[in-house]
Amino acid sequence: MNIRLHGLTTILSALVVFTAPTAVLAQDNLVTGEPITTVNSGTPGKGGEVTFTVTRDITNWNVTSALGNNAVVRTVTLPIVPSAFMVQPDFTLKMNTDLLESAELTSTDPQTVVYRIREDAVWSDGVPITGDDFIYFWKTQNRRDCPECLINASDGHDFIETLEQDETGKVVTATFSEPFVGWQGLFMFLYPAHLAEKHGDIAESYNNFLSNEVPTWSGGPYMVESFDPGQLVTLVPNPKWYGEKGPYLDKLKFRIITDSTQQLTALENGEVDVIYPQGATQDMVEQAAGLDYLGIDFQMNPAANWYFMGLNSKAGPMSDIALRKAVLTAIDAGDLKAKTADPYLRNWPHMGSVMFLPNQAGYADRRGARGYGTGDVEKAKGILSEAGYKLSGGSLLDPSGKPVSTLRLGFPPGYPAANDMARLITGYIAPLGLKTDLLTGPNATADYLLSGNFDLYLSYFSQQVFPAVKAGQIFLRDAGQNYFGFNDPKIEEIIGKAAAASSIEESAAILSEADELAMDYAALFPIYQLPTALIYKEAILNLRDNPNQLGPAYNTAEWGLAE
Amino acid sequence: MLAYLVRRLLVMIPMMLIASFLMFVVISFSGDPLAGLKTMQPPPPPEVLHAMAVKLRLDQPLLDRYWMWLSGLFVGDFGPSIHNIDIGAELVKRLGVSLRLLALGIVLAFLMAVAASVIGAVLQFSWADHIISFVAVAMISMPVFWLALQLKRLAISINQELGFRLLYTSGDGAGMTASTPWDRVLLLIGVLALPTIALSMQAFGTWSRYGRVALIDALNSEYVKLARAKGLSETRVVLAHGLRTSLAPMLTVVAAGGAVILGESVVTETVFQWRGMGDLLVTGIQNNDVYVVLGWLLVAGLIIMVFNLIADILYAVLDPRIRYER
Repeated sequence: MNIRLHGLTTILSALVVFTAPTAVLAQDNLVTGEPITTVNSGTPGKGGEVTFTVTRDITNWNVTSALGNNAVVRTVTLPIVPSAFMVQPDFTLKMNTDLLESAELTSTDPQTVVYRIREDAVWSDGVPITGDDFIYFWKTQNRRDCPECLINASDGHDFIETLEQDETGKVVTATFSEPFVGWQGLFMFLYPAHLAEKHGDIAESYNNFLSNEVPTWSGGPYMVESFDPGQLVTLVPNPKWYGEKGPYLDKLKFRIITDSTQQLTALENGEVDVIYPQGATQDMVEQAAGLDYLGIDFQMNPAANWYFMGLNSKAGPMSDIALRKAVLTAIDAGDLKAKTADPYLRNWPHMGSVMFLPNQAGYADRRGARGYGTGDVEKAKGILSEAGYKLSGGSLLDPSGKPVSTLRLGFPPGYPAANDMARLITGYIAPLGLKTDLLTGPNATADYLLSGNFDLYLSYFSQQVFPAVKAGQIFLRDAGQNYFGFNDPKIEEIIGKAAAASSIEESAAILSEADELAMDYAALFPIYQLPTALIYKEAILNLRDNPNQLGPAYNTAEWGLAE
Repeated sequence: MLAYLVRRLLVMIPMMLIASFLMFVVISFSGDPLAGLKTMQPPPPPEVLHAMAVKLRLDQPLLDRYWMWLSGLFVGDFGPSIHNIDIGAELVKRLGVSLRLLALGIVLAFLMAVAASVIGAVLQFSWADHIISFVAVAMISMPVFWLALQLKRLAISINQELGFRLLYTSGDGAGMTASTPWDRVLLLIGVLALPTIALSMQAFGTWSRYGRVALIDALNSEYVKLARAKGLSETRVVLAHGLRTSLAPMLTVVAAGGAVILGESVVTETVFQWRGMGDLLVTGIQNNDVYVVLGWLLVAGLIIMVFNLIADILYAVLDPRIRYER
């Protein structure tokens, strides 16, 4: 679902309504009316500079490594590191036609994918991009050839049993040990094997050369000219760029401003040209709206990150499913959104699923279908009464007659909306006789979520293009993000089938059933998506919000200035 | 004096050792250094987390870790960083950036405080004295971050009026280039102006109040009356006799206040995006990079001790009545 067309118009209305008493907003700069994948399109001229703001220093250049896997390294290295497929702003995957002629699923048993690399695709030193680079990357990620490689996640590369290339090196064949629906998400980043082999074995080159050394190489439209740690990364065009378009800019700079509240000031003062702050706030949107006199536009979209409240089904009072369902029923999701999002994100979509975003195939409002989030206190009391709970003197007594303990409701710092949500949820469940202790702090995630020392926890998950892959990280019993105690063999079986489907549509259809079961489990309550805000000088063409993990730098070859 | 100095320096050794142990214990229990990795989506594989734990010596007992860290300090090894930072080199680099800001801030605050003291004392209870007192108290009351934000707004307005960017709101100048010497001067001014002013204002407020009182005391003393009776000019009386005497308590306040300014520089550097000591501490805490935080605290502790020592020495140098010999 692309809500830009009507969503942004209503955001515009919201800005007028909610800020009219204190500020006169100039709304002309909120870019509306075009599809998210083509907004701000144009043919730029050659030359000029663009300075893009990023929010943290770069201490590791390897975006696939555990320490380099963050939004800033992704943004800065996307113009350098070639990818087989790229996630588009509408959350679909598109083959990188600059790098590949084709990538085809040629067999389903065993699953086989054939990649054909373009003849003219070369690294910046003129060495062709070949199957060697695919094989090197696969070996670093599959957890078999290089267990010492400090990777972030194998992302499915471990499903590839063999990876071979023909004598030209331009045809690469991947044979999978088991079917994997997410094959298009593989080889998202490729590194130069011919340079890596000069820097020790696989582990040494991966953990040191690719991670700690500023890249002097490139397989993308730009390459690093200089790096001032903590301050600035300057890219210049890659003279060996083989792509169809661009690069148009003489220099593409990434200025590091770690305090996101200072980024807008720097934009207003002309020190930077683009900001993409993490966690757009109402203040920021209002300020951006007032900058059209400087020729500043902005785009806003629902991100791939979505707020949730998790319920600890492993221990404590929330281990009783009746209490979990009663709590979820008593929460008024409409009011929650109206008070924490709508003031500046009017008509922001609800999340009614724990496995799909509203714009993904397979999505349905399964939350509302169960009566969760309706704020129906009487229905919630009925659930409790049926399960043997009693309300006595304003406190809830469990079926054995003991008072239900005060619920420990945690949330991470730095998210004003989460703070507000925690207080509102406390109010929604108070009529059930439930009280909360609000827990937060710099180490909240480690102290409460990771240690299991909570009853309720507010945070957000980052959705992936392949919902079955993400579901495998949350809902399997031994999954790394199964913080809430999902323990249902049927859910696991369905996720396994969905991950092995032959297409994303078939996978979504299968996974829908697991979504229903996970909703029945009542340990995860989806709320709504976080917002993204791309604020930039209107002279920059082809710059557009890509509200998923890749961010706006997915198409830097096309960026340029209007003539 | 020499014996006193040696005594003070010797006392600093056990103080630093005790402080280092307390810091190490407190920081070690302040959070899981791997929490950031464990909460990634998805989290890295267990073997990666184990490798990181070994790298950070989390598999070692606390006392062993402390000893490894302490003994490493003597060979310039400040311990492993989760983000592969060479902590020793980083501390030196960041200290250089911060000292640039600190030195300028202290000099500016001191010069303004002296000027304000003289005006306030000589023209006591005049409108000029009242205005200066009001400004000084306002600066003392004003949070540094708030002042910094207002300065940024002012800078944007000035730049827009000028039609070109004279003042910068972020960055310490690294990575910025200027083609001519004049442009380089302008760039230097543009980068330094706002953070220096923001950092110096609170100190100016405090120091000018001390200076005013000290100078009023001095000007009311018997020897100044004698100087006036001898027919010396008022300028000479104020500058040569009054100000010189009043500088003694003021300088000691300045020396002791150096530590306070170091604390304020954390805020200033964050708001103005200078990559100095303040930024190193903030990012170290955000990343749970425990050895970075420990290195910072160690250096900060040393600086505070040195500032205090300088303050004590200045007492003796500037006020002949104070002697440290037993």
